[in-house]
Amino acid sequence: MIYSFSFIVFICVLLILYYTVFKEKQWILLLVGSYIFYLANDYKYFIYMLFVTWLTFYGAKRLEKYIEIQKEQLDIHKGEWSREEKKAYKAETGKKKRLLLVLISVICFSVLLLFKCTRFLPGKLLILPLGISFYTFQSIGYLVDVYREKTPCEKSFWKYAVFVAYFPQIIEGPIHRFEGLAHQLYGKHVCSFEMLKSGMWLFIWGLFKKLVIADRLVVFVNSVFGEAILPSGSVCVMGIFMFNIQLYADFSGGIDMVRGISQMFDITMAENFRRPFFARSIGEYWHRWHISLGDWIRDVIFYPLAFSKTYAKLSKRLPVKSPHLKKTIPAGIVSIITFLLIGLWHDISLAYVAYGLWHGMLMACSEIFAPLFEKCNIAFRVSQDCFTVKIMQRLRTWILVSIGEVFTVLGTFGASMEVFRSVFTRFRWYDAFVQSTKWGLDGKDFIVIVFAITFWVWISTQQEKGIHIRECLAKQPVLVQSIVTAGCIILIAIFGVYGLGYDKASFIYGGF
Amino acid sequence: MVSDKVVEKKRNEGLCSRIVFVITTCLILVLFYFYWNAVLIPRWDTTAEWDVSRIVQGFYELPEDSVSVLLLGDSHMVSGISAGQLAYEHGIPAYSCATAGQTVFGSYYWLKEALRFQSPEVVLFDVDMLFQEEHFEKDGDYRKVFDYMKASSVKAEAIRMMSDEISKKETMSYFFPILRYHDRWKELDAGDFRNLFADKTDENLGFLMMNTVSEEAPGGIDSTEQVESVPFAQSAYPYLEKMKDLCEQEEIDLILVKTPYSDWTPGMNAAVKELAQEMGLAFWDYNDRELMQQCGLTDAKMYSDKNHLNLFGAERLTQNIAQRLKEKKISNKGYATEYFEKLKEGYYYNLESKQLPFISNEKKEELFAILNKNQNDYTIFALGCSESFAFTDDSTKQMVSELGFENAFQAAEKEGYVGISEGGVLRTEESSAETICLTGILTDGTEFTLEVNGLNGGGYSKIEVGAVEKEFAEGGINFYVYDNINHEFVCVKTMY
Repeated sequence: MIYSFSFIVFICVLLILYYTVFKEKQWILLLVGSYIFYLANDYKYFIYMLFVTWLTFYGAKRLEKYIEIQKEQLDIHKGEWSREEKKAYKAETGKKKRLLLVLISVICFSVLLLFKCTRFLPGKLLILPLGISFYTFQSIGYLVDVYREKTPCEKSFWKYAVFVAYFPQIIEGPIHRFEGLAHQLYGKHVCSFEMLKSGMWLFIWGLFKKLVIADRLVVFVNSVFGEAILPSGSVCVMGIFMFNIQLYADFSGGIDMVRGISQMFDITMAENFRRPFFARSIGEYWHRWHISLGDWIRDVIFYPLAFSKTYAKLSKRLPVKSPHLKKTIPAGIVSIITFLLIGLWHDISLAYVAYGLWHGMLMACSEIFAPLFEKCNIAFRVSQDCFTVKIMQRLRTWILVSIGEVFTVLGTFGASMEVFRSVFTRFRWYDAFVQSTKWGLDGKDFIVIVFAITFWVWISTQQEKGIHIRECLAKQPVLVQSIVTAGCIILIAIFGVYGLGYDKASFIYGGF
Repeated sequence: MVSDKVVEKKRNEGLCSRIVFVITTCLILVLFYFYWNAVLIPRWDTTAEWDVSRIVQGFYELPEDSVSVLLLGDSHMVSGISAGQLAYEHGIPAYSCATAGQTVFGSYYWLKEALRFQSPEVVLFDVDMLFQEEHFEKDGDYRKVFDYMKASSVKAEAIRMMSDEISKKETMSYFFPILRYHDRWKELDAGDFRNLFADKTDENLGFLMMNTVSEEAPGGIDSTEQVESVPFAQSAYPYLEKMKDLCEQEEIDLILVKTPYSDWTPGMNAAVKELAQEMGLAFWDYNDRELMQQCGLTDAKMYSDKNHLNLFGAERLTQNIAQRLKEKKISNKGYATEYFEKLKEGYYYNLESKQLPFISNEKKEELFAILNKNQNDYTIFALGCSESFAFTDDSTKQMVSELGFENAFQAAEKEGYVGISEGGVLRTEESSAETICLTGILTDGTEFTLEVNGLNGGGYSKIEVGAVEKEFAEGGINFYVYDNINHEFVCVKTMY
């Protein structure tokens, strides 16, 4: 049902009911719709999703209870307890809260880990349940927020269940925090034509990126890296760059579709990608790429580690004199740990460990060697505002990210080493041009890719300038809006890669 | 009051623009959809593709209630019986809705569809497919039946019937063919766009004129032989029953026919005979040796391959069919109206142009004589591979030069050679020790691609004109003769 014709019909029916029959209790429809969607796609693991919902809901309630009791006790014994007694009591309650949080997190993450490690088991018994990473992270995020008293505990189980199962985001995220999404899910929404239109445009844009760019590039990527013997290094490099674009087009396209659907329900979802290939450094890249995961990791893992006692001790005991190094080396270690976890979130494999380490190392090095880079810039009179420098920095970021993708493109560490070997030992630059049409795409496909990416880059450039494309389109005459909308749908229908595909050979009459 | 009016006016304006947006978007979408759908559906208009689009689209161009005899069935029927000959020569207005690979399921729904516009008195149905199971998942044959069929309740019913056996995606793509053919944007040519506005009238009335000659003919059977019946395909048979019921209901005389077919067996004949008796239908089996002889269908020259009659064979078979139909006193429904008169002219023009001399592959002297005589009708591709030049005798060299390929034998021994003469005019000559690859467009707009290897390449030549591809893995001077009028290869021959 995911992104199929039935899905579009499902959305339309849901929208009609949302703004008519259910207009007083819209969240109930969202819950019913989300559960229908989940059951239609992955009914086997529906119970597990309910279990996570139940576990984190009651866990959060229990946490809130601890917090309330603690407050009550502190109020009751106000002036009675000494400072040390208060501290000891707080520590005792804190320990209970922490234990509960850790216990629930361990349960949830263990199951997630079990599913992700299933391929190491003989027989490959389990298939990853739909959206498990997203709803596990979202639920644990909620639990952490309640633990930190950042958000109040939700009183209604079913309302909380909408937050966990909200159907558009369960496929590809983004990972939302309770504060940002819950009030929108439970609030009353009035139908607005402009909003529906804008949501539809965002959905179409996402569909364009996915079907015209990503699904076309995937043919090339699979063909290049699907061979038993890898092709020449230059073709591998081309494949990696294509993979990088495909990954971004696929993921951001999916997220745009999710955001578009949500907007039609008058629910604004946070951006998960902010044009990451405009980033001038790896740090900036991670502020633009998969933002919701980055935020989650930063809040739940990076900050607690960076502000921990161990971190402070490490910082003090480092055998270096420079205050810069005393600060950045421990921060670098935390970055490496954080990115290692980001890698493992994607997949439990050596390849993703390497991916995480690569990005962690880049982040650590960029911090540690920042003064050196600064000196070089001054020495070579490199102006950060220069257009060429900006382009070079973006290119550098893109290349560094692409190197990281080498670890993931084939899924195993050994295979990624083969890619490097091919690049360094069998690099014939002309192969990338001469052989480019041997890998599943022909010249006409490349023309479509070039046009589509150029258009995408142009749109992204406008967005970087702060221009809101959909708002601009909405200001155009109605006829222009109609032509653009219908034209884009037909363009996607023609140039998209989907469906059964047309193979002339299958139509040749075998009557002879 | 004034401000209220302004607010209301603005609200109304907003409402208007929303309605306009929805309506114009839907309208443009529908327009774009129909346009691109029509462009992207393959034309299936070459002889190799059995001219499906012409047959189907031509049917819808017929005036209502103008057909008395409807022909249904697979390729055997398409090339076997000429509806044109029935109509123009015998005054029996007929149309052939048979298409290549048309299963009994397809024939039943075509009959239903045809009855929306026509009220035939006789339906001739080729029973070949009664022994073939329906394989809805092999969609090629079904697409050719339904893609050009107009949207109607009949089409919807047929697709619904197939939907149990095929995926949802496929079902949807029968309703919206763009989902199936969108990948075709890569191979679109001017013809695809022209086809949309072209005249869809089919002067041949659904008949496909095959003008190639087979080397063997079906042997025929002894229909009096007592043998065990071959069982019908279980999935196909119910649709024949439905056809029979429908014909009964509409008071149509359903006649079962079997055109000559090399794989036809006495068991099949017995099965259909029994069935026809049970159903009270007539069965005309032209595989019966006596009948074949009587009609003059035993000669291989009457066949384009061992299973399909060519236009000469079809003429003879149709003659016999017409005699039999005349006994049924079928009304002519005014076939000789101005409309049919116009078609008649086109039919005979097509017939004449199809009757170009076939080129015998046996004697090179004959070949060169025919090529010299009819140079205007052909494009000749002379592709020299490897040792061709070393072994070519003087008489061949002389004849090749007379065709205009003057530099063919000036190439070095190990070189490959390409010479193209179109309509008697030499277009190009090229020679090289390396592989020669050429692409170009013939004057009728057809694209061609060719590849020739010299001796270093091992003696190999390949050519593709339009959708037709031919190749030779033999040294020598390879002649590919392409008929510019009928858009097909009429001769492929290697000479030394």
